[in-house]
Amino acid sequence: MKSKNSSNKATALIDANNFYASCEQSINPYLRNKPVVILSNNDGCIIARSPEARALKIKMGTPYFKAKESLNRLGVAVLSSNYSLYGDMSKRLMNLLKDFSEEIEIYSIDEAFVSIIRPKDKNLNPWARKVRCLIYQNLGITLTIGIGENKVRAKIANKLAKNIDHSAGIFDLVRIYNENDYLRKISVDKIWGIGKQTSNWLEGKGIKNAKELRDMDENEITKKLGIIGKRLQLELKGNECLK
Amino acid sequence: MKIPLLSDSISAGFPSPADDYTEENIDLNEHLISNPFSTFFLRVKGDSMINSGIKDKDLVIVDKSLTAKPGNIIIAMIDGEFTIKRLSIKNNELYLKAENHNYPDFNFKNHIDIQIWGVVIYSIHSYL
Ligand SMILES: [Mg+2]
Repeated sequence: MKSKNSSNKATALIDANNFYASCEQSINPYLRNKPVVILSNNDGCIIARSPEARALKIKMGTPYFKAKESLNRLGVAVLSSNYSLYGDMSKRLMNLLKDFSEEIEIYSIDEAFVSIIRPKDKNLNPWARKVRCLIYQNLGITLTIGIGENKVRAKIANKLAKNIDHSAGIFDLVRIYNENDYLRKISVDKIWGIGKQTSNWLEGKGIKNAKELRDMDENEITKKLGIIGKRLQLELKGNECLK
Repeated sequence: MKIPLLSDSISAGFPSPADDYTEENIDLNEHLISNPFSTFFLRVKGDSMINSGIKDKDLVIVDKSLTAKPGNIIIAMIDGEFTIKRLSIKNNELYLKAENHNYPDFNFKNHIDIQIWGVVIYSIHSYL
């Protein structure tokens, strides 16, 4: 384990999987285990898919009129969006999460950053498993939980939790041996706080992933991106969030 | 909204003399619901639970945070539908039982697709 960060504070990014579709499947047994897509206002295009619909390779953003025939053929349930349901479930989710955290910052309808204290043995997996289990029982919603020393790393950990099959929806970036291998999997444009322009500039410099950005010359970043870039790099290195 | 609670319990045999108002006020939401963020309302359709006192069109209050125990009335998802049943145990096997002889029991062993959704904590019946 790394020892550079001995603090007992941690930040987790908790994110609901397929939130809109999960809300619908959670209150409608007919939709459980079925492919479900949800359309934008006025039934324009596909804005959410259940895992079963993803498995059928149905694309996000497809206009409904184009997809209609194949959705029919594949037996996909097509729903109009129901924002009062998603809002209600979001409120429930955030309130339930409060009981499991020191502090919570709601980031979007289905995402929150939470501050937590690491137990003596440093292992937050039991905590994360409990949160996932409780939210699944109470709301029928599956969560992905990424844990790090700060928001930037919690966000990266969340991405890793989603992409790694054996993660069981939980990834703690602080408690791994081969951090570099994992950081290499995160391309710079996927790092929180890096926009299109910045990622183009970084790629031009040969900086392609989170590991390379973490190790990049500090002065070069600061010259180009100012204090924001410097902070971002410090967070990538595992410093706690700077206020 | 809070509504005052009369101090004496109602005798179901003979009427008791009228009592004063108490200071206690009841908010039905607070009174009935201890876990608001995991509680849902459902409308009952049909008479499969009639012997338990739950009737067609009654409103049931369901708490999903509770773990169902034998004896509880629960909402389950069976074959793509919600159903309300009593969770019971017979010869060490779990069943979902209707409270009406015209409906079959569901044995968990024979049904792959049973999932308990939540525990019924109250039912609300209208007498009008
Ligand atoms: Mg999400």
